[in-house]
Amino acid sequence: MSISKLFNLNSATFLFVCITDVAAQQVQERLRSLHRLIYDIESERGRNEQCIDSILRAEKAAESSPSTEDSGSSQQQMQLKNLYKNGLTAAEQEERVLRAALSRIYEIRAIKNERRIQARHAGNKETIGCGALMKMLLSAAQTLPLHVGRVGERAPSLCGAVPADAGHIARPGDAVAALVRVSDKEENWILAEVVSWLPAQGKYEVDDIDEEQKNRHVLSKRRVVPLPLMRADPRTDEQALFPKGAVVMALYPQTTCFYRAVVNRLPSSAADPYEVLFEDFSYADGYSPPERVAQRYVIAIKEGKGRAT
Amino acid sequence: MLGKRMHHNSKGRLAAKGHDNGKPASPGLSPYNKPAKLPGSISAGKTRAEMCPIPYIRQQDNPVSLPRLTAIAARSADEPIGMDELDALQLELETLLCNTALRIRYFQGEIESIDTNESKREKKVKAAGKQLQYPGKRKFPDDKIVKSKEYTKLSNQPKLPKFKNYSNPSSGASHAYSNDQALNSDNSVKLELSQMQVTTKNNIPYKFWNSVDPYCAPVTMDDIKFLDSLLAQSSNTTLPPIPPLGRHYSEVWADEHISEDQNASNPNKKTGGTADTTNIKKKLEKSSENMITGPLTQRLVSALMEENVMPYEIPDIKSKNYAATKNSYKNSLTLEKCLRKELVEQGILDPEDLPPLTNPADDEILAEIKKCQTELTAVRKENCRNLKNLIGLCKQEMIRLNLKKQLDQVDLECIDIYKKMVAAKQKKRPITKKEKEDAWRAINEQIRLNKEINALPLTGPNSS
Repeated sequence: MSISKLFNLNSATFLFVCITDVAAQQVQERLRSLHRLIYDIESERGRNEQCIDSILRAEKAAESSPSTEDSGSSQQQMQLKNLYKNGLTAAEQEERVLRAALSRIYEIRAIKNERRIQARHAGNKETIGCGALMKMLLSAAQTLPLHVGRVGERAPSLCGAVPADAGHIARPGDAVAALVRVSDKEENWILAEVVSWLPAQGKYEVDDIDEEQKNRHVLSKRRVVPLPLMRADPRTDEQALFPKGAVVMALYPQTTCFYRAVVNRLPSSAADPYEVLFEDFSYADGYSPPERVAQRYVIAIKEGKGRAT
Repeated sequence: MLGKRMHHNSKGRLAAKGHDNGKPASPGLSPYNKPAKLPGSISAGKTRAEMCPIPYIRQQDNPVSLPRLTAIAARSADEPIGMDELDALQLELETLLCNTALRIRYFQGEIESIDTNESKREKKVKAAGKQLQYPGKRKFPDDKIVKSKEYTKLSNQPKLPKFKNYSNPSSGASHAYSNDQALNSDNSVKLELSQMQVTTKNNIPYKFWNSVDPYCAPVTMDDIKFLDSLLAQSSNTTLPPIPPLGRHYSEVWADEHISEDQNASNPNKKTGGTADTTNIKKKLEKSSENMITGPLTQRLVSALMEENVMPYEIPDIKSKNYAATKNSYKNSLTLEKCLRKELVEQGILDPEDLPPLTNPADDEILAEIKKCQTELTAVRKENCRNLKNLIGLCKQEMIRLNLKKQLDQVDLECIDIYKKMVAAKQKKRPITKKEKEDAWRAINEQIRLNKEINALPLTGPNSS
């Protein structure tokens, strides 16, 4: 208390300063661990490279010196199989280290996000300009954790196109699409952030992501759709992406509103966005030219609620 | 199926031979699904890394494909990772992870294809052995021997992968050549794709037959034992007895409420507690209205009640009432009985006029339980009947299987004798009387067993 008097701080700010300190420490710890993991990754990759080299050599040998006897080729097969098994174990080990490293990064992001929410509660609301906001939205989409499924594993809920579980409650700070009344006749799906969940009423308190709209909205659960918490990797988890031709809600580029769109092309890699055609009657065929929208901002349409104009 | 496979085989070979390059498909040589590479056919400008079908980012490509990771890995631990580096690092790590995940899938696929090829080879060896037993099909093994002799001559030629034998003959051959072309061209992705398509094609029939197998397998003693245990289980179990009627749920809940409330209110101020208890008492009153009482008691009570009673009750009486209701429910049955007895003795009512004395326990829930129990018993009886039937069928099937086993043996014997006789004819050696007798005995045995099997009543999938 004496420190706070000394610096003439109110108690909330004091608390915030303390939290920031702890968070910074946690982040530093993660960063150090991440650095160690990166050394591990490089050595694992070296081991994998050796395995692959020996496999390639064996494959070449098997092809260039064919033996007609059954037993000979079978022996080669067994040898190759063993090499593949070695390769598999090495790859699995590498996968483990990579996942550990990535989880450090995700943890750092979670800590930062937590700190931001606490700061907001303490009243230190950061003001962001329009351009910065767009940049922030883009980077948030790019750095959304990536889900790379293990063999036979199904993508979890809120990964890519997989919808939330029936009982899912978005946590404070989660990004959502919220259906808000703009004027007497008009309703819009806007990009918003959950402030709190009011269990007694079954309603969310959400903030418009656009700082200039100062309104805080209290909306029933039906009018709030959580955005994906993870991206899906198109090469390993294609089933967790919207198929081509699916009708979705997508964030219109350079805005903070969701509109109806049709998926035109799926992302080709994890970092790649969808290509969508927005419903737009000002164009002859009723659709806008292709626009690129990140996985985070493409969600399943809500039947009967998606008629945003 | 076997015949078809062999058929394809020979056709595939022909198609392969017809081609300019004239590389014969060698059955059962290399199950390894890589097209034969001709040394020197690889264009000179290509590095091995580009040829590599395994998804992998070489460390030598680090500075190009993973600049951030390379920079961080090169730094000492004293130089920490900056927050501004995280985004780029995350993307690179994710690229690596995708790559590794794909590599794991690739290895698993390769191991699986080697395994299936192994099992295929085993099956094939078995199949070839079996064919020898059937005189009608002996053409095939002969054919094979001739062909394989041919192959030994051509042994210095590079072999073609085995998968061709199982794919469509013409497309199999064209696949192989498109593979070769792909090798010669720069398109290694295409090569990988076509390989993968062919591998998956190969697995399907085996997966299918494996899934079908258990349904067509012969009946064993274990199956009968299992059925017996099922029968014993379902005929021995008795239905659980219906427990006696407990207290009404409203009462139980009210009790719980009160005790909770008392616990909660004790440390608190008294005023808050009393408000709550009155609440609960109200609830209790409601529940006592719905309480089951006998018809006579109801009549008596309604006669005693005045039409417009003033709500003059004070909390003291209420709490008494509460105690009373609790007891009265238990006593309602006795009260009803007493009333009945009294009314009849006083001559107010005739015993015939009285409504039948109903047991309050005879409610709809009890009726439902009883209904379920009768249903269960019926289902159990049906189950037992079916199980007995099944066991009977299984036992018959066992007899048939036994006979079939004997028949198979006799069949083998016949084939043996036949071979001996053919050999004797070729060597122009007269057939001895004993050999003839043996032959006749075997054939007669064959006929007898066949008749016996046919005489058995039909059962199950093996009945044909």
